[in-house]
Amino acid sequence: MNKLLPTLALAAVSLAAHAQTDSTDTGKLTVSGYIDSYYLTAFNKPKSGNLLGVDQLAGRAFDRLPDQFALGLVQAKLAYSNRKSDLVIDLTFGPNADLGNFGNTTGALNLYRPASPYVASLYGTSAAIKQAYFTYRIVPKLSVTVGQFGTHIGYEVIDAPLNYNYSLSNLFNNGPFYHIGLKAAYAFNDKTSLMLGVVNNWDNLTDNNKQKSLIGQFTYKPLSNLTLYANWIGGHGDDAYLTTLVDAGTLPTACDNYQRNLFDLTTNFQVTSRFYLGLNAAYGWYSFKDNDAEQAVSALFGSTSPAWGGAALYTNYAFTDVLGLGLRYEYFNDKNGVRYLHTSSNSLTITAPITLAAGKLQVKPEFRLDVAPNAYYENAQGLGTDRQSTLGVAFIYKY
Amino acid sequence: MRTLLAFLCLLLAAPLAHSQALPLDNQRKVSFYEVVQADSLRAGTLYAHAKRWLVHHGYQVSTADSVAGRLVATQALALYDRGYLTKKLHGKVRYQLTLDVKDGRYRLEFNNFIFDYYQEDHTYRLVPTGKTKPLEDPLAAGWQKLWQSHQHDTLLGINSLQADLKTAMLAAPKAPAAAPQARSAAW
Repeated sequence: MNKLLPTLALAAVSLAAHAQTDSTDTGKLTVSGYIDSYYLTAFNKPKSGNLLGVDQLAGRAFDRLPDQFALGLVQAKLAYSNRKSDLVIDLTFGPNADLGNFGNTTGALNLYRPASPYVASLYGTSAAIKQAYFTYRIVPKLSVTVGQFGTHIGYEVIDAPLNYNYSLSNLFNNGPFYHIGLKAAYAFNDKTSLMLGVVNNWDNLTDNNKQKSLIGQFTYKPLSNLTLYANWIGGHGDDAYLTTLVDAGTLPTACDNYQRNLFDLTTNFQVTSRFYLGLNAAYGWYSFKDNDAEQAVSALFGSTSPAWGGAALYTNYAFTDVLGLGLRYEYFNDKNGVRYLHTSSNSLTITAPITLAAGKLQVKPEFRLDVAPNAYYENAQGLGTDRQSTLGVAFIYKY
Repeated sequence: MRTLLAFLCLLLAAPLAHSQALPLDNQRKVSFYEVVQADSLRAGTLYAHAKRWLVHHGYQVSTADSVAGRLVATQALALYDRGYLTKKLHGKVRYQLTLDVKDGRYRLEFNNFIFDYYQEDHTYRLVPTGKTKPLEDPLAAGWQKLWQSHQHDTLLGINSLQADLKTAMLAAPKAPAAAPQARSAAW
């Protein structure tokens, strides 16, 4: 990382060298956003009053509250673009904003606790920042982005209007949500592009151990209706939570010497004007370098090389521009408990979105069934059960 | 009184202009077709003018046959949802422009109009979704008013391009830039 600073300085000088002033390029400001809310019922009637499961882990991503009207989030997004640059200020508020931007908070949602009181005091209003970055196009094919931006990993996003299903997948909930750092994207042609970057770590406002994660995305668009994204994030000692455990003495120092990698494949295929297919698959793992760590790691994760991963198939059919029907099937495995689910799960989600008001209003009736091999979910007696099924409706209004 | 009548005519004409229909060919497809007289201009000159205009306006030229005097090119018009606060790209209507030139006249046709739906992808870039809709489709359930606005914007856009093309086809070639004056030491 000692070479990072000179490299960044060189990049900045290079940007300055290419800088040109165009007084006629006044740019364009776009103000957009959305609000969402939902009501659902769970047939397993969990005694705790939420869908997290009997051990209160991560049985559900954002829509966790049954049998009540629940607010998702409020988004206010400002985007300014001109010929050479883009600026995005994406602010979110509400329960799902706290869940989505959890690494910018110091509440119970964020397992990482900054050791320094000074760093802890920086967290305050940062919880509202979903994204804040600018992109500068050095030449039309090469751009650089700096700031906090949504992760390139995965298929689904926090923004409810952009997902077909309202309830989020386990792949989404167990992947990173955002990063703070720098990335550069180069378009080789209309069909292929490459993004590479360096970020602090995963989902965190600050970097606690100066170990960065590297990110990469290769995009290939062989057809106008088919896009493939091959994504990667990897780093040495870049898990802020694990470092916290080592610093606190819960884990031996040897446990801080590891490499973490996550590979992800995302595809979008609009087969016909009405029929759509999508695929998301991911696999991530930790490789601990020090033999002294084996015992402690094995005790914590049940494996000396803990891993997680899964695959989801998405399909939907648009009967009209108003009514569609979509199905998502997903298998996700976090048996080693290195992410948040701590089990494996098969999930089926059926959604029938109704789109009104020129696409501004989406009403999404939805059924979801999750099945785990153990008694992971919760029943009315507060005991474990192997399945959870919910039926609900979400309301999303965007502007 | 004459002013009042003119004002009333203008008021009546305004909504009519807004509801002006897209021109259709005999297969009920949207098509802007015109044969334009260009007296005294040779086919080669018209071809050169047409090609320069297409390149200047960013068209993808798929056929450029100077012998047959034919140019075929494609381009797309951006269409916006004006929204409550600021406008946002909603899609693009792509089309084909065919130009045939002969001595003293040329023929133009804008056709094959297809609307491409755009949406933000998972990296928040506005990209075509792959869903399409023919521009002549009269119905858009759930977004009828916006669709009519897209059709109207396309009509205005193509009319404007057609007028611009016609001016460019008749434009006299630019005189070469004057050579810089020689500066003599004995001024």
